[in-house]
Amino acid sequence: MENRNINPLILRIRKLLSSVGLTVVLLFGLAGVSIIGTLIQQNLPPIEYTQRYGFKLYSFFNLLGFFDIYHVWWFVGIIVLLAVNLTFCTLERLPGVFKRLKQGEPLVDESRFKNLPFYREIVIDKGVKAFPDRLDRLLRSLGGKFTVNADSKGKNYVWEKGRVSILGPYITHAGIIIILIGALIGNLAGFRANVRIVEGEKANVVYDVSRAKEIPLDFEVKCEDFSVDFYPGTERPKRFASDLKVIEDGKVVAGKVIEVNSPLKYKGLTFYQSDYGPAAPPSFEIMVHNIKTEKDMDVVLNLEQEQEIQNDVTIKVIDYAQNYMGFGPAVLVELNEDSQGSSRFPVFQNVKDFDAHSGKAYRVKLTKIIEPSLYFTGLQVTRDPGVNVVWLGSFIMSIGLTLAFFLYHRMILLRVKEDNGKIVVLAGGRSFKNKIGFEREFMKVIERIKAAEGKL
Amino acid sequence: MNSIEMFNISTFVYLAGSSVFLWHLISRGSNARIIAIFLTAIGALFNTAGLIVRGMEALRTLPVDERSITLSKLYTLFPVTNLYESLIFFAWSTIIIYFVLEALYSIAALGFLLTLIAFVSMLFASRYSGHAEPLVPALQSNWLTAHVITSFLAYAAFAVAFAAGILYLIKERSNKSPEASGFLSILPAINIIENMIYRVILFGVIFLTLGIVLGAAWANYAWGSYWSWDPKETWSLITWLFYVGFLHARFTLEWRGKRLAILAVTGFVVTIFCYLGVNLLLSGLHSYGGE
Repeated sequence: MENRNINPLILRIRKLLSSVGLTVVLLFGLAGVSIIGTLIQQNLPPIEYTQRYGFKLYSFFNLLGFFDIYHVWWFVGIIVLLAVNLTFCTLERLPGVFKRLKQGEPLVDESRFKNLPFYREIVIDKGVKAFPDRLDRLLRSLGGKFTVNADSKGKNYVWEKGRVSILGPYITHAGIIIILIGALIGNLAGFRANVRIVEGEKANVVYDVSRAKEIPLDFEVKCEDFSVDFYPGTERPKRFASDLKVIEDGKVVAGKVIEVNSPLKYKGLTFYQSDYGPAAPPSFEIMVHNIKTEKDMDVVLNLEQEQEIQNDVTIKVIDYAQNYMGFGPAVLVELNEDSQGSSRFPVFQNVKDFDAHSGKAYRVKLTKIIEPSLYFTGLQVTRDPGVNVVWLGSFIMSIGLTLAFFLYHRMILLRVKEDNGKIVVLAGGRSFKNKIGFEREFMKVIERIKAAEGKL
Repeated sequence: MNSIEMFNISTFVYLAGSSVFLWHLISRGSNARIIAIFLTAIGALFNTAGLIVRGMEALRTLPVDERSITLSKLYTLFPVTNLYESLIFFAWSTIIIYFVLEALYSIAALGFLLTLIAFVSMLFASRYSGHAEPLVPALQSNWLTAHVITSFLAYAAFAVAFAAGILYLIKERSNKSPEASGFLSILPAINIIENMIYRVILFGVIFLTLGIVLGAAWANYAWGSYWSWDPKETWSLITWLFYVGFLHARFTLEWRGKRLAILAVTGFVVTIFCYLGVNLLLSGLHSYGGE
């Protein structure tokens, strides 16, 4: 009626936006395109992609935004479209839902009974007088609510339960919209950044990697101390923690020993323990054995530091691993022997007499890896003013789902009339979901009504 | 007996239970059915006892002075921290849901399929078997327990929907031919199966939602971001979108019957990828579930 003045194109768009068919297409579509981002590793440097896919495919994927798919305009567009669709669907149906929610009890009309999905007739011929009281008690014991009204020929009972479940889907949808709003707030007004602080040092700038920019803080964070415990006899970390102090205008204003699962909060920012590492690479104690002279020589080397052992013979550690091929700590050594040329070979700490790859005139042994005493602590720093909105939305969504699953709307209508000293009960029932569960409930009520007869 | 031995026993008892269920379906003898249920219960007993013993074993990996259990350290007793343990917990959840459905619907063919799924899961788990190990810091949290329990209830529900979907498709085919053979006549009416499919999926969606929300809350608490499009997160969202799509197809588009049964079966493939494919084939936050 009021639609008559509206442009038919707008009407058609509105109809599309409020259709559940679109919802289903968007849900499956979003699921489908999300897969792409799990198959193509996200946010790698372009050089890696060109190596993997070749330049042509790289350019094509890049154009489509496949390398940061969850933030590309069309992906975000699908989510926004889903939110719009959800809102339109809800607005379209809400008036009807409220009507159903407030709707008065239906008129009990005998001719309607036989059209109800479940229908039974019961004749009571014993204990007729006490029956109305018993029926009352029975209906009360079912929970839910019931109303009685009488007319000249008999009494009508309307019992119903779970009407509020009608709201379930709408509460769920509202929760989802709130989650999306929370995510939007977080994206617009928040950030996620990293910083590494060496023990004893301070930082007042953090780095937002995804936006590739520095974010200055209006205070300083100092890492007083970092500690890591390992499970005995393993390299499995048990606990790692950083003693952080927040310094503002030269004064310590806050502090906490943070660890994984226990962050520090200050001025809307949260500092999480994310990783750690040595502040510098370790150094290596190496023994070089001269095969001819049978003389040993100990050297301590830093990574990439070239050391002369004799005239024109140098040794260098190019790489190291805490556990190389399952044989424990090892270094990769480059030995330059004047006339023999240079050679590279791994040297193990725990494997005895593994000399096969040593130099021609020398044998090399790794005595010890000297870990530096200083660590850096890796912190994740976030500001997310939307996070509580997200939790609120999640909570509302869970309530809505629970309502929709554990409750369902059903009614039982009874017409009770006297007929020649007997009582005739017409019983009809309908449910708006879970028909099979309701059938059982309905039959149970019928049995109990019948049983009410004999107990006098 | 250590937990691994208990799990091994339970694996073979599930296989036995499954075989007797199959025998029951072929022979239609009611004794076979009772024996099958009994065997499944024995399997579940060993499975449960194994999980409890496993919790104790996990506790024993800690230094002596750290073995006291407080509320904030309840997670130490909940031994689901790697692929081996998670597959066993998956089998356990599936069997628990089976017993609930046995009480409600009493469908022997479902018993056959679900004990079979539990057996396959346990058998697959044995490839990765190993002794309990202490937890890395990220996993030292009660969020872990809540997140894992809710997620696995969802997975198990989707496994049940898958089994019911298959029963539906079998029954639907047989309805076309006039005489139903012994095995088929034992299956419940087609509308009961259909009803069950969407009820368990709705149940699964609720728990998957809780699992995702709890996982997000934990990630936010431990790492400072509730969502980072990690492959596991993304696949849980894909699974969620898929089943939510299913519910809308059922409730508002009023899809019925075969199409929904096919969706329920396909959905489990998505679930399995979310659960195992991500851990075994992709890398990310849940990689500790890989070995």
